[in-house]
Amino acid sequence: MVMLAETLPSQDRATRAVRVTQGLAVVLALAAFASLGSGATGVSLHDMLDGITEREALILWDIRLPRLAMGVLVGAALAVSGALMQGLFRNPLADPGIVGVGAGAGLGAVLAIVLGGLLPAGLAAWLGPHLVPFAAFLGGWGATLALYRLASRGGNVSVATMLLAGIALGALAGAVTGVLIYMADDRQLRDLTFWGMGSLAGASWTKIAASLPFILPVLVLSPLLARGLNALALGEAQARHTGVDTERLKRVTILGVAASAGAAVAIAGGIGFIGIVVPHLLRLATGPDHRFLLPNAALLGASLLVMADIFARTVLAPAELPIGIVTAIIGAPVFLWILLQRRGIGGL
Amino acid sequence: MTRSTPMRLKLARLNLAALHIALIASLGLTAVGTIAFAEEVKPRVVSLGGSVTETVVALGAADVLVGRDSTSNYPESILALPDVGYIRALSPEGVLSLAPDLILSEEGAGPVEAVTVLNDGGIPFVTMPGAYSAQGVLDKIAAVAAALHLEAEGDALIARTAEGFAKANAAAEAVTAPKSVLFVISLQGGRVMAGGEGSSAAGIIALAGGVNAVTGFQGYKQITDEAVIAAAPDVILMMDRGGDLALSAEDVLATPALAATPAAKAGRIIRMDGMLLLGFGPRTPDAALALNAALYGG
Amino acid sequence: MMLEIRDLSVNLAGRPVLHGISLHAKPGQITAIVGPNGSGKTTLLRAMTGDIPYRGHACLNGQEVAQAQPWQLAALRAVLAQATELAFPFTVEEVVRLGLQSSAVQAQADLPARALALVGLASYAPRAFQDLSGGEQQRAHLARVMLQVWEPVGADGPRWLFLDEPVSSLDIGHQLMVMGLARSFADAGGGVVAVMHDLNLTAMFADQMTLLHNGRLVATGSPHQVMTDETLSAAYGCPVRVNAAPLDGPWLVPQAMPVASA
Repeated sequence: MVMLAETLPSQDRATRAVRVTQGLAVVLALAAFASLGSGATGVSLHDMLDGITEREALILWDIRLPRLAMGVLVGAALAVSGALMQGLFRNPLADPGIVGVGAGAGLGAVLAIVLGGLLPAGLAAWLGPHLVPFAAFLGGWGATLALYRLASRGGNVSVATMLLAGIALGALAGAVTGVLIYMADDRQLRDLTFWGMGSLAGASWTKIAASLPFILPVLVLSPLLARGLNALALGEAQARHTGVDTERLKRVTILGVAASAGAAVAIAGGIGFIGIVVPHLLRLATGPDHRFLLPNAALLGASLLVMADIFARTVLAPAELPIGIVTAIIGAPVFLWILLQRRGIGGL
Repeated sequence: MTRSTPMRLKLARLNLAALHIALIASLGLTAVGTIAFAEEVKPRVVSLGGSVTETVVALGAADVLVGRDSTSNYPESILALPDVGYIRALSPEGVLSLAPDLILSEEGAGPVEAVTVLNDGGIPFVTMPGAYSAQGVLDKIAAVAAALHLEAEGDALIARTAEGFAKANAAAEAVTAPKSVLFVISLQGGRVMAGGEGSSAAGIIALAGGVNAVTGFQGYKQITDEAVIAAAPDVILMMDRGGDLALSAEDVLATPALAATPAAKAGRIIRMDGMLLLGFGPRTPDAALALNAALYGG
Repeated sequence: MMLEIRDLSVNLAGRPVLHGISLHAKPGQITAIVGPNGSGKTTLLRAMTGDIPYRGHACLNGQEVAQAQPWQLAALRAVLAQATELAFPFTVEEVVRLGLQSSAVQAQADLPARALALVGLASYAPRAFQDLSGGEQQRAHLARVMLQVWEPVGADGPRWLFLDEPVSSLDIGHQLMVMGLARSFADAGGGVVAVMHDLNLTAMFADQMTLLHNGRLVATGSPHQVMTDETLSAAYGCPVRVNAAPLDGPWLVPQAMPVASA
């Protein structure tokens, strides 16, 4: 029998991945502290240690803490959804928008903003300010389910069909959105623009409570999909040969992304780059094993968004930069850097 | 244990007591401070919306302002105030950082969650009525004055403004042949976005004794080239300042549909300051008179 | 406990590809499926592995393949495909690990290394899979496949190796190594079904062989029985002369040049 090496190579990669997880957990904790301690009012956690005033309590509990919670949820949801989509489509350029979540949510938001006045008064009153997030969420789900139906035949989902149908659906959503934009008045156009740029300024415990049942289960349970997604890298047929129920894997992954990314976009608007860049960076650092990639993506996505939010609400204080702009400013150069790094490696 | 409590525990108890005392003391001081606040110190007011800010200044209360929004740009003196951003995309903590006692706002501030948080924080958030008419302006002034407890100054301002409206009204009624006016708010991508019924542009045009050239839709919307030609306005009205909304006569002539109108052909293109024209604040009577003069001469 | 195919027919895109195939494969033997291009060999394998629907019966250890769940089949058999893609930059060891299914097997951390040693890639574990040559990648996949059915005989019956042209990108030394592994697997009680292009290797290693032609089974039996001049020439459409070399050496089945007619 062959003599074994003392340390198995995959253990090295696995060890490194675990260290990254621990490191990211620390980073997230630090970011959370920084987030709670910084803001336009200049109130710091240190101030609150001396005895918390009513104003400070308001800032902490009603402004900063919901924003932190929302940043963590949305950042983690977008990053994990991106990793899941990249694994499912076996393509490192995939992002949650591929299953139609982004286009559908955007369309839902536009419909709500432009045509919201046509709703019966009772329904509009009951939904109140939650009309746009609600419509966005429904739009994201609707688009994903439509894509799923289009790509399914006899219980089998074709990811290639889903990709193409997603492009078509995106174009359709864009066209309808265009019509609605044409019908929109000045104020609605501004609202649309701001929605598209994303913001955590509307953070509230209501929004968190509404989105938690869709985001948290996906974050917690997604590592269960890890082994299946790893095997999927061999191609669907080979993955099936190793025992993976590929149809169920596809179904669960798509629904999970629709739920978590849909909820994230619904409450925070259009925030880009987290879904693509975070899994990419992690793959470069610790390899493509989804058992580590998924939890690390959650931690890194959450940290990034929390830090972006700190920047967004302090750099122009007392005004606030839409957070989608911050993630784009950071994300686009990082994405380019990744592409340049990988130029030498065959294929993406 | 029958032994005396160790030193550690004693210190811990002492610390806890000190903390309790500090907590009560600071709460007490805050309470005292708050009472002192209301009686002696001037209120801190954040004003959202250009017309509201103008009204506050016109009431002589400019010194209570501690912050404004990005649409407030008159008079020059308030530009030095901290800018809390776009009125429909406020940052709650940003507003709070100015430690306001009162927030005065035009209609439509948002997001709703930010307004709610500010309300929950015990800061009154007063929204002014905003009809695009002479009466609307007077109501707005009255509301602002009431919120600031400046009823006397408010009445004076209302009287002056009403007088101005009377003059403008007289000029408008003296018009025998009203001109049709097309208000163009933007020419983004060659598409004409115009002011329809119920828009602030329609309001000021009416006050100036003109007629809105385009009807059949509400607010500011894109209209087709054919609608522009069918409208055949005598005059094209545009805003003068405002970054990307600043349009020039060249822009108009470069747009085929507009260039074909009687207004463009005769060179009857009027540009006026946007906030002055559309703000529906204390300067509106002046705006109406100025527009009237530009339309009909004299 | 065997692989039993009864009256199996397959239509692909409306076209009939396999007509009424019946064959048995026993554990402890290497069963080769041969035939010219387009004869339906790979289709037959795909039906056996549960990838495509079929009419008729395909039973593995008594379980109808079409009705079994992926994990049930994976516990019984492992499949080495002709070519496998890899979408992400896994290491060789990570790829081999994908063959680990049950947690009992996973507990033995040294198995991936042993599997790699079997295929002559012992030192390759930490390398990037995409850096390997085609032949090396194929051998690494074989290591993964062997890892999946590490025990040739399990508690509930023999395990199976399904190989689809397993030596197509390998040099002759490695070809013999891989077929030798299949031989060892069968000798230890496992079953091997291999779709083969190479008639020489088939003659050397197969215990049973089945010849397909145009989707039909034209001959089945031991290599001695099946590999005759007439049978092979008819199936492959070219002159074939089978030589019986001395038993203690490799057999060569060269293609005969057409004899010029007088």
